Amino acid sequence: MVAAHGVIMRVAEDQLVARCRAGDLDAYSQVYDKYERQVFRYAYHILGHREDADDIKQETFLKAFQAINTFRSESSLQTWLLKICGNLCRDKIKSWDRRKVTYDSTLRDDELGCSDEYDGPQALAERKELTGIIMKALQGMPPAQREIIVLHEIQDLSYEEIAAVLGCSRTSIKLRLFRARRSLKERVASLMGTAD
Amino acid sequence: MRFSIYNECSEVRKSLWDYAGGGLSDSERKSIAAHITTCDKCAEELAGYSVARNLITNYRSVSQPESRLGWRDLEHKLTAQPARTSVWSISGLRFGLGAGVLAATAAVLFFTAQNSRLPNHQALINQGQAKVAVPDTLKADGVPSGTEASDRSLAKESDHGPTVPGIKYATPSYLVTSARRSKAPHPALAHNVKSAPSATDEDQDGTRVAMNDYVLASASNGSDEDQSRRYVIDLVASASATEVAEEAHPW
Repeated sequence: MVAAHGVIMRVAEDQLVARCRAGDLDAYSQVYDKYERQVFRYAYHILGHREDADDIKQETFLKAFQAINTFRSESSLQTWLLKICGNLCRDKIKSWDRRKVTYDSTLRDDELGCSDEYDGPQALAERKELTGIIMKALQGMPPAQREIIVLHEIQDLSYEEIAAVLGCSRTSIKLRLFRARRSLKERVASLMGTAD
Repeated sequence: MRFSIYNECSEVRKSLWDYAGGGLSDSERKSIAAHITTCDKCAEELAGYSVARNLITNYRSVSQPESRLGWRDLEHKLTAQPARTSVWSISGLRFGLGAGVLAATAAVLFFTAQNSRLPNHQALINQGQAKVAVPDTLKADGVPSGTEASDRSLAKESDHGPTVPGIKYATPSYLVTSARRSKAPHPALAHNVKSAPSATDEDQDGTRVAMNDYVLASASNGSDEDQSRRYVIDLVASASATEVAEEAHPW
């Protein structure tokens, strides 16, 4: 049943891609609506800057539309978009290294994606604290480890999907994920004052 | 899952994240639980993994930042970009232009190299005619041909074109050495031995005058063969004249 659902989804996606190849912007708007949140959050957690993440997301979809003819449906559209986004993020981080810009873990209220109208001020404060710890923990990690944590623990991608995004083997992904989790644990322990 | 006794801790730690999240099979969970009760270090590690995992899980459940830019912004960019052109047509056009420019540059360089390497035939002819005119001019001015002054003037003009008074002009060494080594007529003269005069040790000036006379006579014929021969003879005559001039005035 699950496999059949996957096949139906894949066929629907292939049809959507075929329409995009023909220059159908309505079809591409459907692709955008389906994946833009995922692409934005990936970029946001990698970069730590909302404005930069916005720009990277738009650039990802722009480049993807321009290169849609090169998409061979060997991977899913989701992993293809995330791969483009990851490459753009790495380029951005390289340019930061030249300009001495660093990951920004300081968060404004409007960056939390929630408002006290629904959650109340106390819930908002807790959420802000929680998000701040995660962002600071991600900030202290190397970009490669940060990427894999975001993809697996936040975006909930499988080993195979991560391997397709990062261009690595499944075994390599498992090893890198183990090291990234250990690094995250140490960072969180340090931030919460429970380190030895 | 059975862990070996030698690397039990490292094997357990690889699975602690999943154990903290409630994953793994029953047998794996039992093995890890048994190990943790006996290993404080691994129990401590498990506590750290649990905290980190709970944070991430809670973070995932809360609403995360949203993008401010939407489809309208992207659509504007997509419609604003120029119409897509085939990669092949662009690269083909670039290749064609590049190849054309390269071929034109190569052709220009080739002909430039050819022109600089080969002597200009017409220029040689003109040069020969100019030399021929010198003795006439000198004769007209009352300076007899075969004198030291006319010899030097000839040598200078024949080798270097227009001359500057007071400057000594060097003669090409191959001509000087050729003339010194054998006082016999140059092979080019021997080719036309019937009409060309022979050079002797006793009469250098006479030889040059005779050769100039020969050149004048050849120039009157005006054939291409004679013109080329005249140039060679003139060079030999210039060498002889320079040698005489240097011996007379060794400055």
